Amino acid sequence: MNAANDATATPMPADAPAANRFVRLWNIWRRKTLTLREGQLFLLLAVIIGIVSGLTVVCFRIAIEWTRFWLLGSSMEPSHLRVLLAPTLGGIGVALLVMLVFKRSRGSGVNQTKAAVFIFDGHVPFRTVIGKFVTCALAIGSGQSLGPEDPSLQMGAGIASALGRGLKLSREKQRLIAPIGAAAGLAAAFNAPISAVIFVIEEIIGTWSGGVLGAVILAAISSVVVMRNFLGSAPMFRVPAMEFRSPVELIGYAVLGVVSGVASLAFLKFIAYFRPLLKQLPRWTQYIQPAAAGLLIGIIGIWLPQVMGSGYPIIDQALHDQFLWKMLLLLGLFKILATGISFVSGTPGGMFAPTLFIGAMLGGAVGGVEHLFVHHPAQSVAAFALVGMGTFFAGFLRVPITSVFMVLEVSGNYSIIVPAIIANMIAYFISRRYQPVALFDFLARQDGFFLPSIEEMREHTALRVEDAMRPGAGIVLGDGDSAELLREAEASKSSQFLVWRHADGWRAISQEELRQQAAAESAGASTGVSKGEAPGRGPLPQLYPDQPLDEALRLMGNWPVVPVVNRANLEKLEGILSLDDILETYRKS
Amino acid sequence: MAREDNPRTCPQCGNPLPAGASECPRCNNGLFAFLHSREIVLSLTAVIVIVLFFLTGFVTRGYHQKLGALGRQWFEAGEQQLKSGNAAAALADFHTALVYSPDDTQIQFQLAQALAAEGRDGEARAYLLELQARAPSDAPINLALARISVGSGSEADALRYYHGAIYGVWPNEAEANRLNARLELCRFLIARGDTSIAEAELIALASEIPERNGASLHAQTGELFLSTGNATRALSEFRSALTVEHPPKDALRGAGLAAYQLGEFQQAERYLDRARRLGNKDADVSHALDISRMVTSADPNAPGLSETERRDRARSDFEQAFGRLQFCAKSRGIDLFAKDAPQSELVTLGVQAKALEPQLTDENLRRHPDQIDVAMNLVFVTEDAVTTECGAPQGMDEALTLMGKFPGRKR
Repeated sequence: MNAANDATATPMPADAPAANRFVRLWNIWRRKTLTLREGQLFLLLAVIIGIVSGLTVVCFRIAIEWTRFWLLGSSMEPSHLRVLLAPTLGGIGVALLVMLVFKRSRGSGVNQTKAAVFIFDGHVPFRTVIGKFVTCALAIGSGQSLGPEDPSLQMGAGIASALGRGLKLSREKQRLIAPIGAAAGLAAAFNAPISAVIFVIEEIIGTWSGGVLGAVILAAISSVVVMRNFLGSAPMFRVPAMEFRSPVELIGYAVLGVVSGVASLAFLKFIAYFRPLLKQLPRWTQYIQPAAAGLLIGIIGIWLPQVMGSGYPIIDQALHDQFLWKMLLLLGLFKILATGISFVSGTPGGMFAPTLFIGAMLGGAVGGVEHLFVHHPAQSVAAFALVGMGTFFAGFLRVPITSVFMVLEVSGNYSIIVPAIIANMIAYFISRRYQPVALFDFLARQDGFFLPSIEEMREHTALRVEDAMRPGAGIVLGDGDSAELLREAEASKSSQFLVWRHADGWRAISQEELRQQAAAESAGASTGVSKGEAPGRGPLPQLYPDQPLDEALRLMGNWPVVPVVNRANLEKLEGILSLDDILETYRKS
Repeated sequence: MAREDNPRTCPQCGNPLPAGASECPRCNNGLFAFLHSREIVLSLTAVIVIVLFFLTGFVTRGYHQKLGALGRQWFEAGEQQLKSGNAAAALADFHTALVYSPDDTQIQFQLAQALAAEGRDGEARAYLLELQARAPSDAPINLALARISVGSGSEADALRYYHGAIYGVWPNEAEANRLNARLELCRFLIARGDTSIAEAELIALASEIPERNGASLHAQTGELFLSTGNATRALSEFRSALTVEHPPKDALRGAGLAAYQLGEFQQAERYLDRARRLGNKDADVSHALDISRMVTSADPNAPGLSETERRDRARSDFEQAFGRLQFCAKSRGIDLFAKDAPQSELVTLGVQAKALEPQLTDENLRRHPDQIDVAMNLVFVTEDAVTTECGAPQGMDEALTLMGKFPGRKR
């Protein structure tokens, strides 16, 4: 149903003023010439969302940088006074904004977008977009250890939601449009459209739905094109040339997987423990929590200013072998502490950039130690840092596919894929084993939302037709006229039969129907089925053993039983399936 | 209250419907519906996108300008630190500059230079290799890589990068920079002992030195030729350097030493004398000058000598060599003229000298001038033999030895 046509078809009241004649004419003209079908509009909208999200993210990134110049100065090692004051005062400002003006701007933005999709029909208030922009720019720019990606994701979703509402999209499309904006926002912030699309599908939507995939890709690419137009097409990190030389190196990457898995587990436990603890404190403390976090980060920043802010330049330096392994290890550990403090204090900001930072530092440290003992070329440190980014990402955010693609997209180097997969999987399994609930899931539960766990969905085994069908059941009558079929049917104890006709497919017939048909044929009377026509009712929908059970449920219609046949031989009956069989299987699962 | 009476909301705008109303009064208003139609919303969105585009462009331009300014500011600070010898501070500044201008190859190059100055050759090399991958024919990058390779002992790499610098693209003063790079390559080759390759490079270098303002390069090339042992080409280069009005100081010294090595002692004496008068107090210059003077004053075959002077010089040279022979034999415990003296070259020469000595009277030499050559030959052979037996000659003996080395040369 075309909503646009619905709108235009609304009858005008009889006493409408004469001025409305113009509107009527306009409606007729636009119905004939302008009206887009919902699908076309959706794709056009995806491009527009991509462009607007791209522009917003560009402005957001610039706002963060300007705030940093203003509060911390342009030096990479600001004065101690600035390092202490900027995050503390920034924290006070952020707390006031979040508590008094932009109340829904807390958190990273990923869960809020997920909640919008699954609870609020894709509705993200536009006020949240403004709030996220202002508060995150202030928080990250003042040195809080958070990143701009997750907020960009939520801003994209908010922009998409606002456009969807403005265009009065159907409820179903409204729900789909928020992830499209999320992908656009994340792609622009990350300068990595493939990773952004995969992340949104892996973490927010949860399924590879054909209805939304095209629009998600279109939006992500549009936003990246816009972002590159303004900020340049240079990748986020200047990754030096590297190669995977020998399978022996995989031992080092496996160690990296273990280190990252343990570190990501520690980080997850830190957040899972301290976040509810701080939330339970009296409400007035929420005004000072971000400032206190800022002060603590400032104290860390006096010795290690690198842990402040998103830390992208530092990742770049680590990729270029600028730090010794001890320093890398120190930076990784203190970044975990700083980011944990920032996040649990309720300061709005993302976890992507800190995750990449920690991963790069730990990876570089493992690479440095490996270089020390095994004497691989120095470039292996950069390779470890790069793989480490993805590995920690996989262990902490629990998005294993995104993490691998991210490493590939950021490095443009496919030779690193084997180490990346091995290390990522090890880290993922360690994290999964000792922290069964993923980060975004437990954050949502702490906030009182019971959002579907994409990780659990991913691991959930889908029921198939073969799980519910009755193999060997169902009697198939041979090829012959009604009298022959009746003789065959009377020889069996069953009352319902299946008949296969090459031209008509599978049909169902009862013994009684067969008897009537045979009698009518022998009497020569017209029964509506002349001699040689297919007997019984049909054609029946045919199912295959590998089909999902919910799909079978949709296909069954009102038929009491349907045949389950072999895909290679449609005449071969594998079993039969009834509604009761399906319900029984669901009940047992 | 209306909300409580009629909790239904409009499916289009989401506002609560008034009590008893079946349609939304706002959405049924023609103008409202018109303003909220998809086409109008899309058109407005398009306008907003265009405005946002320009706004973002404006903001971005300001941002890039700021980044550029910060990059320059930190780069200049780094250069100042590097000039003042504080490579560690320069490094921090260049790193900061790179954060703001990550694609600026000049900053990356200077950063690599600062890293090399700090002794962090591996990092400097990594940076330079990255730069070279982007601009393989960039001569300054190749030169910097060559210097790092020299430091790390990668001789083959050094040679490759030096050639990259010589044949690469220089941003300015290409000719002079190429010549200097080749000069540096030659120094590297000579230090490494590859004199034959060095000589080939020096010949190429000499052929490329421009006529104007090339005196200093000629002098340096001559110096390097001297190091390879090719005194002929060295002298030629020094002579080229000396053709200008104000020749380089070292040109005279080099020319003198080259002439000295070639056995052209008169020339050597002239050049070295001028060098010393111009303030050169080098020991090798003094020594060569002294020896040259001795050679020119002791050589009986020097042009323009009277016969008497030739005879006197020959006799004097003979006495000098014979005296050194006797001194050497005595120091070895050998009595040259004893009947039971052991057979040795010194004894043979002593016997020959003893036999020749009576024939070297003024009268005899006047009647038999060929005896002068016989005597001088014995002098040269004696000096060589004594050098082998008793060590390097000094003073007049050294002059006589050198005279013997270059028979027939103009002295």
